[in-house]
Amino acid sequence: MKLSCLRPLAALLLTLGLAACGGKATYEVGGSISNLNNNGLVLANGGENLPVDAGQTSFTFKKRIDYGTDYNITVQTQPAHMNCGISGGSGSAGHYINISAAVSCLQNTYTVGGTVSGLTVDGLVLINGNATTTVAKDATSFTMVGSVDYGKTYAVSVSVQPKGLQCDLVTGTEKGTMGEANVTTVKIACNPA
Amino acid sequence: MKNLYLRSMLAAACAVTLAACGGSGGNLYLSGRIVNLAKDGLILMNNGESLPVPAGQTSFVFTKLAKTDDHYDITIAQQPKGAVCSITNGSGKATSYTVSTAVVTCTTNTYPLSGTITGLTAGGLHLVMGPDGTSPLAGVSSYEFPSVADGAAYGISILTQPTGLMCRFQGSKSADASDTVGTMGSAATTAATLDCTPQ
Repeated sequence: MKLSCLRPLAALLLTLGLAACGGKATYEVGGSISNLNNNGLVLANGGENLPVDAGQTSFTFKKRIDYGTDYNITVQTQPAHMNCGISGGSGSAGHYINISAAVSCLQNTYTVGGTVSGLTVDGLVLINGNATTTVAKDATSFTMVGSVDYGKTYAVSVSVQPKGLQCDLVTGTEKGTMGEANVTTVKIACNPA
Repeated sequence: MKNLYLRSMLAAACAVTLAACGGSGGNLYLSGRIVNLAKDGLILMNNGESLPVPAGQTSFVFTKLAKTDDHYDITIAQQPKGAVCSITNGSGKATSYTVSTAVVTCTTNTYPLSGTITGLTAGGLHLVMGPDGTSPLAGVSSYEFPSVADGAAYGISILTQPTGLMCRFQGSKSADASDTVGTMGSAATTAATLDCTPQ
């Protein structure tokens, strides 16, 4: 009698113990964020949208997910003037100890360039800040080496004149603040010196 | 007698096998990555071999091969002119994995670039050097860009003129004298004077 009571009790305890061990484990869906300088980012996972403010360095979705549930974190909306990418954003909960995606953001960048006339010899070197760009003879257009972040200034000058020519930047076309597109309107006119 | 013959055979076989494993010469190239080397003059050193590395290189390889388990210790025998480099993962025991993990990271020295301003009686002046800017206030008599790389070419432009004034760089080659170009020295450098006059 006594023995037959103990046996089911032991079985019950064992079952409860196993359940506590991870029968219903849930996982937090989140990760780190780097370089988020602008507002507007919205991340999404499994139907849940998560707006993230500028300056945040981590994120966590409200909804936790069960062991074995797939997750797939995506960028629903990019922040203003930035582009964010995600690594480690998808998988199955429990494959790793933690779900830890990495969102990293970069300011949009664009090039500066334009047109040149009368460039009959080699040797023209343009400069923006500390970055020089050599323009070959007979070129009718140019693009400066490197790119400029949205919102940053640029100003193109002639660093080295080609031999026998005087190349001038057309005032008003050569400098400004970078917007949301490549600048292609810088104008240079070269004439015999 | 037979036993002795067998033993010496075995010993010889062992020696041959060990030699094949790297007993002589070695078969590992000691190499690494280089970050931001913009100046000439860097010389790396390992085990008596010196390796000059010119500006712009992004990797290096010593010509002397290393053997497995050799100790290597890459050091900087000479810093580049106008820059400072440091090494991470530069020493250890040679294995096919470790011999390519060294990283040499260099930082070019920077110095202030400044110039005189005359006649700045109003606010609103904004000077730019590419993405970097400075806004000298009314009444100041100089402008400065605090950190410009050793030997770098530079171009400074007037992005906005002060209210009611027209500023011009002395010696400017552009039609409206709104810019100045030059090359940074290996110390604090003086750029062209900016003269401002009422419009």
